[in-house]
Amino acid sequence: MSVEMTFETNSSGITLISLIGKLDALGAQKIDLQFSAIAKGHNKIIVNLEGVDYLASMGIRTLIMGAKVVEMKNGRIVLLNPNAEVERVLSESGVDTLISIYHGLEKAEAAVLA
Amino acid sequence: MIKVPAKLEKLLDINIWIDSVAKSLNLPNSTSFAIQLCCEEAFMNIVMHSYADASVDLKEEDKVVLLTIDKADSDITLTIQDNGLIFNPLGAEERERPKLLSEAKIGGLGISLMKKFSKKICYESKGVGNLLTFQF
Repeated sequence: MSVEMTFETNSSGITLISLIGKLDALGAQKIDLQFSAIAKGHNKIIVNLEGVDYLASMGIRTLIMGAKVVEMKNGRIVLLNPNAEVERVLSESGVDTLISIYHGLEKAEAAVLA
Repeated sequence: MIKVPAKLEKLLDINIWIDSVAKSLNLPNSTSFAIQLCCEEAFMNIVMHSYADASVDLKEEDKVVLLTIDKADSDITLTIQDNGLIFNPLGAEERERPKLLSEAKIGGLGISLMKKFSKKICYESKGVGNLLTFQF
């Protein structure tokens, strides 16, 4: 299964991007353009990784590129609820020091609104 | 064993094969995840570099990647073999971890992930092509 992406913006102006499936090279290729477009158009973004069961370097590339765009606009972007294996990929690659990871939607919302 | 053309879309076939081998060998999820990650990073290197150079004088049907997974006692071995340009990923310089998002370079993560998610990696070149052997 490749990756599926949906997004919605709530009344606080927070955009929740939900990813489900495998964020491998094929998954990254599938969502790259749309993910980048959402990053360009929104300033408070939570990327929900709860449904992502696999992440590789090409998927990290997608997340980093989106985060760079948001940061250049002084916006905020955080990652939410990665599973243990996906979180290990994020920490071993050092991404966790570049994009904050939260467990729990309330904490993630507070972080992007701060 | 699986032999696939070195094309990005073949990653799907490799993933299906790994899932089926992992089930038949009754591997824990963390091992199956690590195998998949190392396979993908090595395969993408081959797709993007080993066969991408115009100087690679091979017929299209010879631009393939051969993968095997074996289990002996508690050791799992993954091999990935290609016929492309000589490239030792273990000799490539590892990129320093960026401290700021603005300094983060895109790419270069694959090799450090392969090292982190396997117990041991060996590289061999036999004149033509490359052979990577991973232990898990």
